[in-house]
Amino acid sequence: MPRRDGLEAPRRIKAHNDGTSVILLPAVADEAHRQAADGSRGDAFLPKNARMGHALGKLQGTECSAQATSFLHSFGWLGRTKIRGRTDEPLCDRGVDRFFEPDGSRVRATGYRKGPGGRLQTPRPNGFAMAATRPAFLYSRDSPFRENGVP
Amino acid sequence: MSWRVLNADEHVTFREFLKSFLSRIPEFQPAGEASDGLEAVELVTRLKPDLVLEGS
Repeated sequence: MPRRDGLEAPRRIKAHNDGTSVILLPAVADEAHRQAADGSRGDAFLPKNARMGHALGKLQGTECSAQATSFLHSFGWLGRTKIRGRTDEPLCDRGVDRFFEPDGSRVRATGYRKGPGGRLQTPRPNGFAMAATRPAFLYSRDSPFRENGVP
Repeated sequence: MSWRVLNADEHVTFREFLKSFLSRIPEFQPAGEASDGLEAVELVTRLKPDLVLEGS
């Protein structure tokens, strides 16, 4: 952030109000940023372009607040699509009940069932198969970071 | 349980994205928005949110 280092703010926030949880959402998630984030007092580290596993990895190593945990889980269960046998990027924004059609419109899916490994799956009339495997919001079509060149 | 969330990021598009996303989750209530870390610290002092989403 221009007026204050994004990693300095969590320290100050915690100093003012230790009961407030802070989730860091860095645009860059290289090792240097990750180490710097570890040194901050953030409750979780969730790169904007990362899968949720990055954040969960951080959570496993630290005691995360209930607020932060709940937030991260609320982003959970983002599915992946399988088109003609090829697993592609997720096309839905959150939950097994929200999907994007290829034209970007949203539909509500019904008829969940358990698939291999206990994952929720739903057959799609258009041939899409969806499994709730990857929790992350960053692959949403809404994300502005695709436009900014962040993968 | 409902938690108040302060959304702090310099990109207004990302703040809008998060706000839109959070509006679908009943347990999170918007507490405010900040465009940089300094403003975030000020708002935390004043609003005492439960959770801060801090872009960097």
